Amino acid sequence: MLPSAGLKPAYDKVVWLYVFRDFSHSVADLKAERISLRFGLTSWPQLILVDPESLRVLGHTGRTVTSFLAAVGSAKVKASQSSTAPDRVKQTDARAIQLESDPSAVLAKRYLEDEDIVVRYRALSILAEQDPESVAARAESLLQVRNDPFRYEVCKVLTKTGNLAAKTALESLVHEPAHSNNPNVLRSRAVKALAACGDADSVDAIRPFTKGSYLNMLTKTAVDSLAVLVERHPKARDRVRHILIEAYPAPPSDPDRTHSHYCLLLAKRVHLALENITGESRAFPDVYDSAAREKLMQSW
Amino acid sequence: MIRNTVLASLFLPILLATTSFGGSETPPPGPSWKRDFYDAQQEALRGGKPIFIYFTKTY
Repeated sequence: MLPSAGLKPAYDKVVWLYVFRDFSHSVADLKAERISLRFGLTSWPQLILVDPESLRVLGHTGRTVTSFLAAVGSAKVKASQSSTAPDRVKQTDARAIQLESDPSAVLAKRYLEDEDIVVRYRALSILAEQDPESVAARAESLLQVRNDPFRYEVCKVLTKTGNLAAKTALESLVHEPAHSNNPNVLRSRAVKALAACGDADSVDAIRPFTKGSYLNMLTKTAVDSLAVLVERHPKARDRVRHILIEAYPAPPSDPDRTHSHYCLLLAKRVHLALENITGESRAFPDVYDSAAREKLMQSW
Repeated sequence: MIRNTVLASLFLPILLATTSFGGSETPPPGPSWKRDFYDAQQEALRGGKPIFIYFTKTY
């Protein structure tokens, strides 16, 4: 789409902002990261239209000239001479930069409940490293924040520390990863965290995702997480055993190399998880086809 | 990783079809690009225009 000449009609209809990340954590990269965080973005590329006053996302433009021009045409913004909105962003940036320059837990605790999501994220990142227990203790409320990077970070902390009090919030997120730009990833992070925080009943929340596509990392995460839950709650073993037996993926009917490869990887992962939770072993077939899968499932 | 591979295979033709679509420190040619959010926000407010933000990264 860029740099199509077809976009010329829109050149003066929007203000064009380019945000590039190289993950070097240079001054320029941190600046780009702050913008990405503000809009909760964790995948690239993204093309969005934003209201300059409210910072509300007016829409995604899509990746064709037609969709772009249509999105621009329907985005209505009022002119304003007020500098309140930009000044507010500048002030919040100043607080975020303060945390970047002085990543102390004391400052971070002060800013964790800031009104601005970028400041909150910076504070959270610092505490995740320096005082993860304080994050875990407040995880239930922190998981309500409608920002993907923020919630990913909370899930990451919970995966390490565990906290039974976060179980309900995590199960809710696994069931419905609402207000997310990347619900599959958010769900995956929540499943992993639930393995560390949940109890034997949490198996029910994770079970549906063990039968997902072998191309989806969530399926793999669900299998692994059930094995972790059994380690922490052995009384869930029999239940998880049955779930994992059913989780052997059906081989693709029209296999290409990629599909066969990932199907086999998942099958082996399920197999390993079963061996680990049961302490038993079964021979994995040389060729994993439908008949071999059936035989393997019956062998358990 | 597989998800990124799938996404890349969907968008790579688009990325390759247009020069400098993504993954470059330099914005693609054409419109007048801003690099500072504050500047973009002020100009957009004064002009009654939305901000179009193109997020990209190094690959």
